[in-house]
Amino acid sequence: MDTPFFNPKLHGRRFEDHSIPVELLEDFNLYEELLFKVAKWVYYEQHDKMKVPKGFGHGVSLKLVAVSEGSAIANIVLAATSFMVGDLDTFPIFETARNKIEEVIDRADKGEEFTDILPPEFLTYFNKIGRRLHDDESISFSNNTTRPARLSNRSRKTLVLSAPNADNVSVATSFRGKVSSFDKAEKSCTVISPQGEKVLIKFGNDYSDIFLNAFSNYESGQKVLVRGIGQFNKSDKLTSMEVDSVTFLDAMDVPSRLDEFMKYKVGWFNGEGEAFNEAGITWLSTMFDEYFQAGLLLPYTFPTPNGEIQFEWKKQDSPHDLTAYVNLQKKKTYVNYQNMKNDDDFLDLEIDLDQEKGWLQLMNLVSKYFKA
Amino acid sequence: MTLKSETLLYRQVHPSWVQNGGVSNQAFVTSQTFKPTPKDQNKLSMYDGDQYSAQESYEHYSEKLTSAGVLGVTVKEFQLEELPCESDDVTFQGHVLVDYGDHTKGTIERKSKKIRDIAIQRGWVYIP
Repeated sequence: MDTPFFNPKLHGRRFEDHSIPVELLEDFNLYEELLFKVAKWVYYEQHDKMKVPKGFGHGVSLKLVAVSEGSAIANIVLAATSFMVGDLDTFPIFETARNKIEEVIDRADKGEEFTDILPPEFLTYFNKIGRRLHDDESISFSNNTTRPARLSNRSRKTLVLSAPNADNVSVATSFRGKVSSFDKAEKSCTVISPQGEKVLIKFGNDYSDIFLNAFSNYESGQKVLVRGIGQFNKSDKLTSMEVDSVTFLDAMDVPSRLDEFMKYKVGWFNGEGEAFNEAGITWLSTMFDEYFQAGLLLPYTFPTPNGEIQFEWKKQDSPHDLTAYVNLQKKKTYVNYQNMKNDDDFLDLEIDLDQEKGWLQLMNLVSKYFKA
Repeated sequence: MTLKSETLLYRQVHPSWVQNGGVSNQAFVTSQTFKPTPKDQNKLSMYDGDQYSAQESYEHYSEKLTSAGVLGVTVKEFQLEELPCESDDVTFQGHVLVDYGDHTKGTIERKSKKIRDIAIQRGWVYIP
């Protein structure tokens, strides 16, 4: 017997092709685990018992039966040979459990009081459910448009850190920097960002060679990009990471260069110069990483006194020179191309980088003159 | 004082406008170096190479401001780009202003690129 149960909707660019990455299916597995625990608790509360009847939940499971269009909507049923345990119909109990989970997520998302809905030990589940969501992604657990129960990294942090003795929340993240220390015995190292932020990285045998190599080349500035599950403390500071992957970064890596500008204060340019907005720099780093095509020359990257970022493409022994000034607030870029051997061969245009087609237009220009 | 066309003018380069890496790990200088900033009112500030050596210009500048090194462009090279140069001894003796005038944004961008290329072709005239 398969009964439609809920249809969580995944929001974010990753899901726009109406598919769900396999790594997120683990979240539904963990949700099922939580659902069963909450269902048992609901039974205890409703029947003033401390133990569920034999057979409670036996043969009951969640099943993903389809992924609908409209971003990615997972159609999930609660399947069972029978929901009856003696005279007890357990389906309403599972529905109540589902509703309570939705309510706690929704209240946390809206900044409302939520600690009176479920016992605190259940909230630690959100340290795993959704931990592979990116910062621009969320899962809506309810179809109710006014109470969608949206789980994002923000609401996850609220839920997890409200539990007693909870000091950290797990979030999929990435970190760039140089390897400043290396511990063979502990299989760990420290990666330090251009702003001086230090993160303890724990790696297995797979990655020790890469980290050791980067550590050996610390003085020459070799940087790495580490992706994995990070632990963020109550101040939202990344304190440690478990590694999924690590790669050497090119000396011209753009996000690393952009990171350097975060420490520039007002007046950085000999008394002139605006500070750089972290949200703007993060936006540009993310978009550049997403849209920059392999096989193209990386640009030189510079700050401007009026708070913009200048990308400059130039190749030795080539007449082509392309600059793009990015306004981080307006998310637009002024592009200037010049053939340095032909004054009549030039281009001036403005491109909107708040849309994918803008980035594709910029990359088309770059690919015309600056293949690596 | 009238500037001679062969006079080399010195421009101080801010450290954030030099990036290492890239081909042969050579330092790359942004074209912004030869573009007036918003406070400059379209005039680029230079040192008169007939009154200062490159090192002296760096030392004078660094008394209060930050420079990674010095690049040089002649008065004639600026003039060929329709960028007139004028002594500005009122600000300090040996100060020169290069007037980018009413050129459009795109034109200023193109001229700054050309001047930068000329300076880099000449090489750094002083690095501390």
